[in-house]
Amino acid sequence: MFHVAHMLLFSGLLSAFFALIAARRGRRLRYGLILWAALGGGGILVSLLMFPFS
Amino acid sequence: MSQEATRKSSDPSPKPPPLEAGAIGRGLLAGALTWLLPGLGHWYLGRRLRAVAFFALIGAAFGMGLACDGNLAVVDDLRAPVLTKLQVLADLALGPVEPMTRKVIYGELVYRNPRPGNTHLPPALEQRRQRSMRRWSLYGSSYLLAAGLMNILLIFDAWDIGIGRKE
Repeated sequence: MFHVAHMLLFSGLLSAFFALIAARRGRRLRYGLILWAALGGGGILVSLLMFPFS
Repeated sequence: MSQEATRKSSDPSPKPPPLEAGAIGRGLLAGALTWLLPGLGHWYLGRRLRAVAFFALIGAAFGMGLACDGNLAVVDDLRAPVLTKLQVLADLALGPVEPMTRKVIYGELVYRNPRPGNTHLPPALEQRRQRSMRRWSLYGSSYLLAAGLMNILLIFDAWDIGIGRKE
């Protein structure tokens, strides 16, 4: 559980950073949320794919 | 349509406009200030809100790294010489706070593991090894590395804004 919390916090920091540095004003929130969902969701998806091999 | 206009419309990669006078100096200063303290370059360029946000984000990543007992990288000539050198460079991108932190948590400025064949582990590296065995250390090291990498991008961003390539 803590691992997932760290992953979401880490991806949240990265998403906010990239939204500020790369997205245009007015699109930052959307950009950041999409990136956060992609990083967090992607991480969970990859972990589920690896689950049968653990 | 004049020949000049025709040439401009058909040119797939038009040349960027010439730099303003002093743009290079402003870009270099902004980059250097960002290295000195994350966000300071943006503050100097008048992007004050973004400067505070960047400082908070990189500061949060760095703080989480330390709170989770993360380790700063050292060059390991035996296992991964190139990758560990890049990790040390990423850490150094955090500016003067990096050697200060290294001194505080390890007791000295240690940047390299012992050479192959040298089995004696200096106290600073022993401290680092013990720290790496703590529960959240791996997470903390990732936060610290990410903070350094984010500051590298921030230095380039400050440079771009300083020379007028980006708003």
